[in-house]
Amino acid sequence: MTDLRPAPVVASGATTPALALHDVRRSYGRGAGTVTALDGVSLEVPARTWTAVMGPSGSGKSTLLHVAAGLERADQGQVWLAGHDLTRASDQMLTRLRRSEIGFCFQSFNLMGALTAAQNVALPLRLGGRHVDKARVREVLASVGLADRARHRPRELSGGQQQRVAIARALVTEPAVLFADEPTGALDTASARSVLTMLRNLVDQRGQTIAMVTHDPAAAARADTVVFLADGRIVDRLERPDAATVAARLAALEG
Amino acid sequence: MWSISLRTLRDRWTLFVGALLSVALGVALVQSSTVLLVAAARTHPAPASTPAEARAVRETVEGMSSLMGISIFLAVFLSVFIIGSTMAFTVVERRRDLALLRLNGASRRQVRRLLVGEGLVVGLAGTGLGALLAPLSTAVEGRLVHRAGLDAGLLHVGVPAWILLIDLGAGVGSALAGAFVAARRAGRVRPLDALRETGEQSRVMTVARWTWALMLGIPAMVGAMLAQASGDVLVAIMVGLLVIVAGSIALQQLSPLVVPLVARLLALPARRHVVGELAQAGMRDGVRRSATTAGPVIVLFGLVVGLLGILETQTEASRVERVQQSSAQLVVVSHGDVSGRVAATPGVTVASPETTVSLPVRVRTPRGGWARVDAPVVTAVDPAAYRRLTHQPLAAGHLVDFTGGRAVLGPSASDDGLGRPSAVLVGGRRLAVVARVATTIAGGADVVVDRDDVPVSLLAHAETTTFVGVAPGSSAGDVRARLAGLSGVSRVSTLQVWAQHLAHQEGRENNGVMEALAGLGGLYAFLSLVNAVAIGTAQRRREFAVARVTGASRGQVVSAAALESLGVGAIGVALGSAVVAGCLLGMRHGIEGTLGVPILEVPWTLGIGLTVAALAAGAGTAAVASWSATRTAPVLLVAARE
Repeated sequence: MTDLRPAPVVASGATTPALALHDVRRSYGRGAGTVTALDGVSLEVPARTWTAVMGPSGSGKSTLLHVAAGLERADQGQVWLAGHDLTRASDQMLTRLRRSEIGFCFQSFNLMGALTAAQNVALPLRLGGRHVDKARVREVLASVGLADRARHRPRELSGGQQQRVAIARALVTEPAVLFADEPTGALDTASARSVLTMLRNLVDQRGQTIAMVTHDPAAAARADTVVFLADGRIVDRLERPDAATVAARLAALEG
Repeated sequence: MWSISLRTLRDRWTLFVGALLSVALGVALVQSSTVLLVAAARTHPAPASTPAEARAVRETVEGMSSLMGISIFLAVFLSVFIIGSTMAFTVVERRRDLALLRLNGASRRQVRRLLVGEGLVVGLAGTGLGALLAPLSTAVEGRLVHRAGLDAGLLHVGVPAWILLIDLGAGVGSALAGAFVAARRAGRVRPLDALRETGEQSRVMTVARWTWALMLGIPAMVGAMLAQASGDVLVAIMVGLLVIVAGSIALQQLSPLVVPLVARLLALPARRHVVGELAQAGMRDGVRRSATTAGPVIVLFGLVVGLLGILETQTEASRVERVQQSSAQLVVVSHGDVSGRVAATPGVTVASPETTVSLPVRVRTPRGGWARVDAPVVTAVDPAAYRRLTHQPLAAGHLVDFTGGRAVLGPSASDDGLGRPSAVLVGGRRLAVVARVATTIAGGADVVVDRDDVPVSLLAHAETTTFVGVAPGSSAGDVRARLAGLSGVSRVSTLQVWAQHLAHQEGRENNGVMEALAGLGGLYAFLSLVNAVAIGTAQRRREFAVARVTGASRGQVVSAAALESLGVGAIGVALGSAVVAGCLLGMRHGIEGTLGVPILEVPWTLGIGLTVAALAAGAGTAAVASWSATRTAPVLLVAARE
């Protein structure tokens, strides 16, 4: 597949990164049963770029994402997001950041089954006590290609459509960073491709910053940068990747 | 947040049906009990009524007030308890949804407000439903109190308009109180929980659980130890109630500790069979679900079996006491006084007649005035014969001094507030008090007087009980036959049979009260048992689907769910039995201290019947719910994300 996308905007390097981790450590359990999930990870995700994190099972990918998004606390080190140190933020601060600076989408779409697509999208705004502009919700839904599905409940939508609603919900607050955990993991090839194209467009056209965990080389190849994780450490890095190279590096790590 | 509350309720209404019905039931009962309570407070004997009529009215008013007071307490308490546990359970079952809200930027306070909003809606809807049901429950309560020997027809019943405020307070109040407990738990759900598969908290025995268990468990144990056999049925019920309610909840709180234990025991025979193994795994894995299901069974069993046990034990104790406190061999019940002819019958050594008469009584106050006694029970006896046959322990004085012109305070005097007067006015005649009988379990007279101090007209046609001493060497059977032939005699029986008959009669009245209270508690417990099993099972669709794609047949899944529910029900029965045992053993100890004989009456039939009913209801609900939860093809559920 020919890659026609423009070069990433990151080249200037003048902007501060949207997300930065400094020497982050995180382990689970105590004594002999201790498992080190992150062992001194430092990573910068420049604004308006897409970074993919890859690695074998148990390499610490999900923990990295959780710590970076403030869902789990690091034992050591610092996590900076949109000018805030998440490792020191209070619960209320984290709540506020989730309302404004952090967006999530997951392999399991995690939509509220009781709410329609439009209500799911408007939810973060309403929780933040912000005025819900119906036109804005429609616009965001339209941007993910679901203008005509606003009144449908999640169970009335296909997997690809549900994931689009989840992405629309993450985008409605215009977050500084969109965190994606295996966003195409539950989708068929065609749906996955269209979701990835949509994410690519978000970065290129709207300057969205994305941090994504995946083990699908095809998905990682759409990112600007791929970071490889093994045993809780960053072991490799690839700029402007292609699927074949990503697959080869990953195979080497897993081998 | 309010609109999300409404949405959630609309979408997942099945989770809240139990809470709604609990509120409605609570409101209906509070309204009907309040109506009857107000009616009782407004009712006074008509000025022209005879002492007997006035007494009947006062007894009805008193009995009704106590009964309705207990009913209101029980209704509010059980409503809050059930709503609290139902809502808390919905929190556990919706853990992922709540975490998702947090992930999308909801603060702890917003999540708490969501729960309180749900509670408010459930409370309002339940109040409306309850107000509609109230006339029905008033009618039912009226019939129940009638069976308890109280005549609701004597009361001036009316439904005041302000009752709606009481309804609203009870309905919304209990729903909110229940919701607050759940809201606190909901506030602790972390955003990350949305990404984890398991809904259960890792630690089920929380500090709060320990606190409740100890806070209620200790008074329950102390109450069980102190539970002395009181002469007053209602007092005994209240002490027993405290032990049963506090003890049931304490054990319900502790059940997460017991569930894994029993699950392990059940494992021994169950492990051989895959269905047994599945059931056992489910019980161990869903500790909270199991505890929520076992809770109502504990309360149901403790309340119903415990209350009946208290009453049966007390009835038996009063029978034994009556036999102990008399040295008569035979008892003659007659219309009018036949004691002279009884005494003249060959083989009879002594005949002691006792007649309860309606006479106004005043007691001498320490300041020298006279205080009127409300609805007094005056028993007229022959002092000489009374002394020979009656052996009630005395709290003060000597029966030797009991002659004409003097009186003895009976066993109920202290409970009825007569105090320790030096003299009493009975029917206008001043009598010096020479002795006080100690309080008894069975109760009895307030004042015992000489028959010569009572107008003959009162004794002539009153029902009289004559206690008969049979001469040594005479056949009690022969004497009995001779007495039965006397005119005016309606019944001759041995002391044992007479006491048995009386106890049976009292027991029937007590059972009316018991039916009213236990029926009420039982209804709630049943509701929440079925509710807990239904919610717990319906939320396991995914788990069942996984079991089915792994190769389990639909029948196996349903059997495993039913078996698991049986096991949990058995835990509930075991813990409920522990509460009952604590309560009854306390009473047994108290009675042994008073009568010297340990008395313990266990309502086995009821206990076994309830066990079967609770287990069947639990297993049946689990079977139906799991059958319905496995209706969809398993592949759809396993693949589906939402």
